[in-house]
Amino acid sequence: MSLQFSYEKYMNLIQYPEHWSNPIPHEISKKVIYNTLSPCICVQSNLELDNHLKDMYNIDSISMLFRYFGDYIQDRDQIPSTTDLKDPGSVSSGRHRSDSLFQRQASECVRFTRSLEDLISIDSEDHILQSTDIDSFLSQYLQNLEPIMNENGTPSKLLKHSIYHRFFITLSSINLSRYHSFHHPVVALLPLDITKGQGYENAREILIHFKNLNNTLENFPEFININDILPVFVLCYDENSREQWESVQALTKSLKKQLFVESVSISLFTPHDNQKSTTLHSPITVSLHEQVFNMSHPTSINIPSRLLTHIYDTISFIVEEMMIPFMHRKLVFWDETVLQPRKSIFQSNKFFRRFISPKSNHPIAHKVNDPQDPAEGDIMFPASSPEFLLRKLADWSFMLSDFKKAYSIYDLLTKDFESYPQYLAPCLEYKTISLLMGAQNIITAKTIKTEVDPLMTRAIEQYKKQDEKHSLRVIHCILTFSDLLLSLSDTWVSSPLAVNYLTYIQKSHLLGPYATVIILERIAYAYEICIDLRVNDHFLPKPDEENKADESEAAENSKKGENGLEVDDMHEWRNENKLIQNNLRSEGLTRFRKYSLYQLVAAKKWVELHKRNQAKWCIYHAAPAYEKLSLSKRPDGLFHRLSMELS
Amino acid sequence: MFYFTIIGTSDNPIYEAEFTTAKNTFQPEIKELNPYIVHSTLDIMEYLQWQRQPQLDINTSSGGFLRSRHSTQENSYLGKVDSFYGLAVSGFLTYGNIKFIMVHGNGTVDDTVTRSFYYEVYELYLKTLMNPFYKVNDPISNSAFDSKVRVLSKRLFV
Amino acid sequence: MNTTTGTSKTASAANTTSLASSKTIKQIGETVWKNRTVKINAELFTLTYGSIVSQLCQDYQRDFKKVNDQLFSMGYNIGIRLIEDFLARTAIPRCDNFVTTSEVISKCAFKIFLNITPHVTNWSNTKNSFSLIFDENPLSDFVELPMDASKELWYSNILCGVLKGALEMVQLDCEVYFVSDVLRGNTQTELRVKLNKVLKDEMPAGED
Repeated sequence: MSLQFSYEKYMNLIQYPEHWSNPIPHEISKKVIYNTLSPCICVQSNLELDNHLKDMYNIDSISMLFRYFGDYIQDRDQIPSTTDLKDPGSVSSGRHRSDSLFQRQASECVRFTRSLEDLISIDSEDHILQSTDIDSFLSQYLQNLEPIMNENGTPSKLLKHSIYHRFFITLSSINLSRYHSFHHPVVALLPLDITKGQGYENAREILIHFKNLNNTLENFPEFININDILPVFVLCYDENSREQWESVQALTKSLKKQLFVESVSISLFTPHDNQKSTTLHSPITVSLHEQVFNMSHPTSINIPSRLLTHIYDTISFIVEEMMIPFMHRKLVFWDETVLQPRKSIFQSNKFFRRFISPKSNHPIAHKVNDPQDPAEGDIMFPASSPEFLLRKLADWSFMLSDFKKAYSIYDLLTKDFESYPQYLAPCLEYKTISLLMGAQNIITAKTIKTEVDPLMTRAIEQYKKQDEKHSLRVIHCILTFSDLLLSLSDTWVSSPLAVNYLTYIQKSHLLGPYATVIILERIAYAYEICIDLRVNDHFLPKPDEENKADESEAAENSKKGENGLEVDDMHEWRNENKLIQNNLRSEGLTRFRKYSLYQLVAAKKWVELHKRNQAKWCIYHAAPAYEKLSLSKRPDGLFHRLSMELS
Repeated sequence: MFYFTIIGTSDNPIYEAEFTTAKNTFQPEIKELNPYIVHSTLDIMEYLQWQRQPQLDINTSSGGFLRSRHSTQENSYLGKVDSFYGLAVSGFLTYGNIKFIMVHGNGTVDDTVTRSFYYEVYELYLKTLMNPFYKVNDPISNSAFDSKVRVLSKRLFV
Repeated sequence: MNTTTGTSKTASAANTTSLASSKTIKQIGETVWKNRTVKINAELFTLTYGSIVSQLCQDYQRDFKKVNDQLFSMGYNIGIRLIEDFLARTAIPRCDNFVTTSEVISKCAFKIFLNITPHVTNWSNTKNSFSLIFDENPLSDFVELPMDASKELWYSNILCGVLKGALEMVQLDCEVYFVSDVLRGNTQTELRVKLNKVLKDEMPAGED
C-alpha cells in the first residue's frame, strides 16, 4: 500500500525519492493532458468563512483549501496511504483504483480555481505567459532539485519524465480563453459559514451576487454564460453542535426549494485537538505564478486526517451527483437545440451556410469589417452563439471522455471557423487531441501518416499565423501532440513525427535555455522509444549488464584454465579479424544512437546552466552508446571531457 | 565547411577530416559535436541499408535485403540522409559495410559534387584496403591518403 | 594490367636461335607472354602474396629478419622448379656469359612471369654482379609498410629466393639481395645479383 504510485506522486516526484526507480507509468502523458483539461470548479470567497479558516487552520481562504484536493480525485492522494483510516464514511479502501484512463469513470479529475471574479480580473487574455517566466521557474525548480539529486545518486528516467511534465503543466495556461471553454468553470462552490450564523438570507445574497456578476462586473467576458455554471452551496459547520447540524439540514432543504440550488455540507469547523493531522502536499495543476509563489513561500497546511476523508467524500459527491449530471443535462440540451438543427439542414452545404454565417446572426462577430482579413479584427463569438455552444458541447464531451462525439463536433466546427484562424487553430488542435485520446487502439501507421499528421500540421500552421505574443500556444500545442504521438503503440511510425515537431520548437528559439534543454531531453526520449515493431528481442545496451557478461565470461575462462587440458580443446580457431555484428536483427530499426546524441547535447547544455546532476544523468544515459567507442576516449572529445568534469 | 569521416563496421571512425576555408569554419560548439552527429547518423544509414526494396516485397517474405543486390540504380551514394539543426549530413555506403559520412556546414548537399567526391574517396579507400598490412576497421593513418582526400575536398567548395 | 604465373604450357618448338642480340631475348619473352601464358587477375595475385607476407609477420611475431629468410626460402623452392618450366617454354639455349643471363632474367623471365622488365644496371667492373631496377612491382601494389617494418622487412624478398634457386639450377651460384625498396622510402627498388662461381664440377652430364 505504501508503494502505491499515484498520479500525484508522479507529478511531485521531487518529494518522493523512494519512487525514483519506478517504471514510467502507462499512459502517463495522456493522464497529464487529460488532467489539464479537466472540468474547473471555481470556489467563491466568503470573507467571514475565510477569516474563520485563517484562525483555525492558518489557511488563507476556502478556495485555497480546495485547491489541494484537485486533480485525480479518486486517488485521494492527500491521504497518506499508511494512515489507518477507521472512518466509516471512508470509501477509499473499497474504491477500485485503475491505472488506465479509460477504465476510469468520466471526469475523475477536476481542478479547483479561485473565484470567478478573480479569474476574470487576473487571468484575462492580456495576461500571457512569458517564456522568461517559465524559465525562471524551471531554474528555481531544478535548483531545489539539485541537493535531492545529490543524495539519491541513481539516475532516474522517471524523474526526468516528471520534470518534463511539470514543465508541460507550467506551460498549460489556465487562463479563461475565448477560443475554448476548457478553463471556464463548470461548477461554482458558494461557501457559507454556519458556525458564524450565516443562513438563508446570506445564501440568497451570495447567489444573487453570483448570478449578477455579468451585469455588475465591468469586464465580464461575453464568452462566459453565467447560467452555464452550476452553483452549489457548501455549508461549513461544526459536527459537535447538534444545533448547527439541524440548521444545515433545514437550510439545505430551503435552499433547494426556494433558490433551486443544491447544497453539500462539510464539518469543516469540528475541533480536532487530539486528532491526528496530515500535512497536505501542494496541488499539481496550478498556474505558473502560483507555483513560483509556492516555491518561494513554502507553507504547510495541516488538517485533521478525518477531515481529509470527509472533504474527499464531499468532492466525489459534488462531482458524481451534481456536476456530471448537470453536464449531461446541458449536453443533451445543446445537442437538441444547436447540434441537431445544424446537422439536419445545413450539413456540409456551403451555400446554406453562407446565410447562417456568424456575421449575419451575431452582432459581435460583425466587428470583422473585412472578411478577407479576419486576422486583423478582434472577433469574438459570444457565449450564446451557436458556434461557441458547439465548441462548448465538444469541450464538455471531451471532459466526460466522450472523445468520439467531441471529435465529430470539432470536425463540424472546423468548417465554421475556416475564416477565423484564432478559433480554427484551437479547434483543429482539440480535434486532433480527441482523435488521439479516443481512437488510440485503432490508429494504424497509415492513419497516422494520412490523417493525424496532416491534421497536426494544419493546426500548427494555423497557430503560426497568429500573433507572436501567443507563440507559447504553438509550443503547448506541439508538446501535446508529440506527447500523444509518443504514447501510441507503434512508436516506430509516430516518434519520428514527434521528433519533427519538437525540433520545430527548438529551431524557433521561442523558449529560454532551461526549457530548451528539457525539450532536448524529450527529443532524446522520442528517439529512445523509436523501435520497429519487428524488433521484439531488442534491448538497449546497459553498461552494467555488459560488464557483468564480460566478467562472468572471464570467470568461466579462468575456471577452465584451472582444469588445464580442456582449454585448448574447447577453443576453436578464432579469426581475430572477423567482423562482429552484435545486433544484426535490430540494425537500422532503432534510434539509440540518436538518443545518445541528444542526451549528450542536453548534458552539455546542463553543464552550461550549472545543473551538474541533470548533466550527470544525461551522461549516464548516453554512456552505453559511447563507452565502447574509441571516439569517446579521446581526451579532447566532448563525451570524455563532460564525463571527467562531472565525476 | 565540411566534416568528413569514414566509419568502420564497429561504429569507430577510421578516418576524419575537416575541410574548411578561412571564411568557412565550424563554430567550436559544432566542431566538438561533429563526431557525435556522425555517430548518430549511423542509425539512419543502417535503416537505409536494410530497407527493403518496395518492388521486391512480393517475392520476399522476410528479412531485409541489402539495397545493392537488387537495385539497378546507384546504391552506394545515399545523398542527404540526415540533418541536425541546420547542418546537413550526407552518406555513402561501401559494399563492405564501411560508411562514409559527411557533415555539411552549409546545410545543403550538392549531389553532383558530393557524389563524385565520395566515389573518388572510395577509390582511395579501396587502395588502402588492398594493402595487406591494413586491417579492416584500422584507423587510416597514411598521410598520402589524407593529402589525396584533401585535394579531392577542394571541389566541394564551389 | 595483367601479370602471369607459371603454367604447364611447354614450348612445342625448340628455340634454337642463338641469343646474340638482346632483341631476340625480348621477342622470346613477349611471344611467350602473349601466346603461351595463362593470365590471372593482378589484384588476386597481389593480395595472395600480401596475405602471405602479413601472415608471416604475424607468425614470427614481427621478427622481420626471420620473415625475410622465410620469404627467401619460399622463393628458393619456387625457383628451383620454375626454371624447369621456364626453359621448357622458352627453349632458351645456354647463356654465354653473365651479361646474357641478366638480359634473359630481365627481358624474358620477368616478362613472362610478372609482365615487367626491370632495368639491368650497375655492373661491377668484373661483370659478375649487376642490379635490377624495378620501376613497377606487381607484388607490392597497394602496399604500405607498417612503421616497425619499414627498416627491416624486404617485402618482395621472395624474388631474391626465386632468382637464387633458379640460377643455382643452371649452375650459377649467386648472391641475390635487395639493396633498396621504394616501400622503405627509397627512391628506387634495387635488387642486386652477384655471381659467386659457376658450378661446373657439379654439372650433370648432358646438360652442357
